[in-house]
Amino acid sequence: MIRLDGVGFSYSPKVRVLEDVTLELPPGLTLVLGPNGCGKSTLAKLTAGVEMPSEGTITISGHDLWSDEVAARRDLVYVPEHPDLTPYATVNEILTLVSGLRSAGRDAVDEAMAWAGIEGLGNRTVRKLSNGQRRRSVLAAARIGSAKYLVLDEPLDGVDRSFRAELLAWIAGHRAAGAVILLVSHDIDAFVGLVDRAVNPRGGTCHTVSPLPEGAARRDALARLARGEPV
Amino acid sequence: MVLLRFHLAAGVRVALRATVPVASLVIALVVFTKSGVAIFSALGALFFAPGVSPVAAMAATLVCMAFAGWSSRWVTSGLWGWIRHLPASGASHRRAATAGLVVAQTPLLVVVLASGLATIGSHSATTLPRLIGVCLLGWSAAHASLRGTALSGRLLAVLAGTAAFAGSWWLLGAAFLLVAAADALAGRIHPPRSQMTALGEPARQELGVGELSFSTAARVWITISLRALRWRLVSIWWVAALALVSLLLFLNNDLSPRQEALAVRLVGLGALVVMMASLADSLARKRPVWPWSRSLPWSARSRVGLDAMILSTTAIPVLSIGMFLFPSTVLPLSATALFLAVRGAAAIREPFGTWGAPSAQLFVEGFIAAGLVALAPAAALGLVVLLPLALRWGASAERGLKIGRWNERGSLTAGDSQSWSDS
Repeated sequence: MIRLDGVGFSYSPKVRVLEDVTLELPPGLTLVLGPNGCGKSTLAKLTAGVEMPSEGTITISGHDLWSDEVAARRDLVYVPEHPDLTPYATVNEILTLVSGLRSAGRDAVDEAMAWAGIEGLGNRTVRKLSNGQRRRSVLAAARIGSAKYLVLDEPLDGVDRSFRAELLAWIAGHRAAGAVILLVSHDIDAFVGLVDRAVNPRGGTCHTVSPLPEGAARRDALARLARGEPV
Repeated sequence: MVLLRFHLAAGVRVALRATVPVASLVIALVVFTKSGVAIFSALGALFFAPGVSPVAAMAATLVCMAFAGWSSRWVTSGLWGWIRHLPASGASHRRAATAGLVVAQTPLLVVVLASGLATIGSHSATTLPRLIGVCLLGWSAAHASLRGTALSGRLLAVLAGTAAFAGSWWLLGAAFLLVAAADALAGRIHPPRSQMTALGEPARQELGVGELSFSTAARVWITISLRALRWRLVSIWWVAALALVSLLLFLNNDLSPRQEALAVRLVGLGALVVMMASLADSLARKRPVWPWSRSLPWSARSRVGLDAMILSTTAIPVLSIGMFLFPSTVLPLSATALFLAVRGAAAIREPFGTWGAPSAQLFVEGFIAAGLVALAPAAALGLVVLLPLALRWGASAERGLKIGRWNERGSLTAGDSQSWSDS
């Protein structure tokens, strides 16, 4: 369970992005929807422990994300919208770093590279990779270790068709295994069959829609949330 | 006890095997020089130098570590195999193997003791604590060369060996504490990488081997940082070396030892501040604080600590030359270097605009600290006391740095083909 309690965040004193957000994310896929600039990615960054909230607390499996950093992040995986990898690291080093911190084996690195189709890029530094290759590197890193909490920000962006199907199967597998998944995406159609609930950041706070309607009404409801309209 | 006896027996067998070449070498030297006393006096001059000498202690520790490292292949052989199914903890296995390695060093330790006894008449004040510290030296060397234990514990063991053999009662006492700390940090024993594949999967899972650890991650982090810095690091070392070598001109003048020490401290600390500030700027630009890495299971404190470790490498040439010119300046220089390294790691994480660049913050803080320590070396103790607080401030800056600020620093332009401003 991921829990946000009275969370507030601002990039500068005058611009409040989120205010007093209280959310509980149980196992299953939670889709974050809304128009550009409403705070979807900020919510993902806060949940992934990449940005620190100005107010409130975030706990993962009972561990506070900022006072119990290591325990809270042990089974956490984050795929950012922009793969902000450090430029002078090789792909191999990034995956070894992740593997070392998640206490996974060397085999996990090789498997992740094979899965993401970047076997030949191991010794290449990040600055020599294309954007798509960087995304694949981040996705390979997500596969290392035993992820129980997934925060995925536009995971299908910049991914070709064959890998897209692979990626959707991987997400569906984690959902079936009882993982908590917070997913930000504009691509409603890809997730309409997997989504368990939706969250819509609006006016600085988050509105949860659960349960979602079934059948064709579900897609309509998600489309309205994506436009920032209440359901 | 049975386990201890088992490993001690292995140590004795290795010691017996090593006795023959060591004794042959000593006998050959005695025959060649026709004076046994001269041989031991020469060794005594190396290991039992007059006064408190960290250099002599480090030399003795390294020699013992090399010997223990050589003997470990026999003493620890099979330590990760069948024997691990017996009802004994990993710590018991580790301690027993360490004791075995101490015993294996006996021929070398006897030579060291004999060289100490040859010099005891001339400077007993420092020889006595060293003679007593020989056992601790052996234990520390054994611990430091025992593969498969935590790196932090092994590094502490090297420090313990150096302190035990430095020739001071105080440092000998500190060595006992360091040995205890090294033992506490050693953790469970893992097979070295070369032997992991020989284990079956169930044994690997039970031992937790085959898993990469935090030390692997730390090594990767340091490698990435050093690659980003490249020759910058070496060029900065040259600046420091040149600044300090210029001191030799002054040391030829008729200065009192106090004035000489002050000059070494002033120039050394000044060089440290300049180097660290310059390196902090390079690190912030080339290997910036990396937002995604914050989602991984490691603490902000450990990331700041690792960056501080990288920055503190700049101190190596300054400390080496300082030790050569005036050994007593090493402690204040080391303490200031550590403090500056932690503050540098924090400065990399301060919001852009507060100081303009990490170097600006380091110049201000560094020159105040350096001035204080240069004039009153005891102030270095205050910096050591402030270290945990500095680390906490650094961790707090790391947690609080907003991602938007990362881009503002122009970090993405650092040789990145995806950046629009890359040239």
